[in-house]
Amino acid sequence: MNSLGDRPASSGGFTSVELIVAMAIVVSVFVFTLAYLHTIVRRERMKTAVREIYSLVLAARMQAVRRDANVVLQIDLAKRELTTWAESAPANFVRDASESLLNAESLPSLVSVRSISGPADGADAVAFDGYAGDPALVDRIVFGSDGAIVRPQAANSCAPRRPTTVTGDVPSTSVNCLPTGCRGIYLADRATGGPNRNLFRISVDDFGRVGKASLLKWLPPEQGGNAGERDFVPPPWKWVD
Amino acid sequence: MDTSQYRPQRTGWVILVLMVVSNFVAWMEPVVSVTAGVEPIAPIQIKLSLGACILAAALLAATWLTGRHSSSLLPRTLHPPRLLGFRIALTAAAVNIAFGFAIATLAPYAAVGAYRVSIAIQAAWFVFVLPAEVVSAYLTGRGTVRRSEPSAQTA
Repeated sequence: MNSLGDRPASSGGFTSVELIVAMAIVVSVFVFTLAYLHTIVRRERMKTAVREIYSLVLAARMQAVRRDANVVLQIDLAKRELTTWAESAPANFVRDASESLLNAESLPSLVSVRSISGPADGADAVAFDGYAGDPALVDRIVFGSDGAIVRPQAANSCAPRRPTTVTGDVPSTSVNCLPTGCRGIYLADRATGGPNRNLFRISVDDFGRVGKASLLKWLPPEQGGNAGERDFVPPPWKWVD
Repeated sequence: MDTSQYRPQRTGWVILVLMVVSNFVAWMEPVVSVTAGVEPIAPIQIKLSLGACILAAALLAATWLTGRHSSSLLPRTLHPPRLLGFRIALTAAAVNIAFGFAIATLAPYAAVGAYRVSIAIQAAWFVFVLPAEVVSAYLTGRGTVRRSEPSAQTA
């Protein structure tokens, strides 16, 4: 083996230069493959977690229609648990001893529940608050027997508005959440950070009482959302880091 | 001491790594930057993208080595081979970045038209970019080794 790579064209074997170059190519392939696979796995896990919670919301709605009764999906942020039960009369939106669980799931550990401006597990992280005049009934979605939700009454749980301007980035099926808050379950891929994070919103009955569940992603103005608005848009979504 | 005589050996790997890395931009960036929804990425898409990058890297390394070991005469139009190889590599890298940007913009493959365009771009990569990179690697290989001059040996 020649150390300088300076050899007649007809000689055989590999020089150290050739080995080093081959190693550089292998290392760069290895590093980039690992980096991209790491990103793919992280984002796939986030998508899986969001999809699971969205499925639970859809399942709760179906149970309400099927049982012809109110069904409550409660998100317990302290225990990081989602539970679903069917209400029996009188409907008080609290699980009584006689009301058996329909479903109980844990919140995936990588998901941070937080609104746009609030802290992780904050008061607005799950904005389905205030029922039957009781402000203590928070963090629960109540589906009526017609599949629509029983409207939460807290100020942070209002319906969103439509975006003022429809653009390519903000299509007509987007919503604009007011700064005072709008109802939804907010799931982020990190507990800190501003616009530089991926934040999903799961909600029901954004416009009208049809029981339609929605899964939208935050599009800050810095990334194409309307100025002065808190837009959540349907797919396709662009990931941010 | 004349250090300039070793410069070609020192820059050849940069050209190759530039092409290898830019292939990842073309193939992997669209996969990770855009999502059509919460559905998982199709495994075939990951396999295709990673496979294309690894195939290209293996081909470039093999072709570069072939170029270094080749003793055939190059046509005059291909002189100097290292400079020409470098220019082709730069062009291929620019096209890779443009492809990656185009696919990421057109994705999420929700629309049939966008899906077809992304397939067309990936096919174009195999037809135009990969062969160009192979040619560049060969020329770089030819240009990064100093051969003994036949006339000097016989003189």
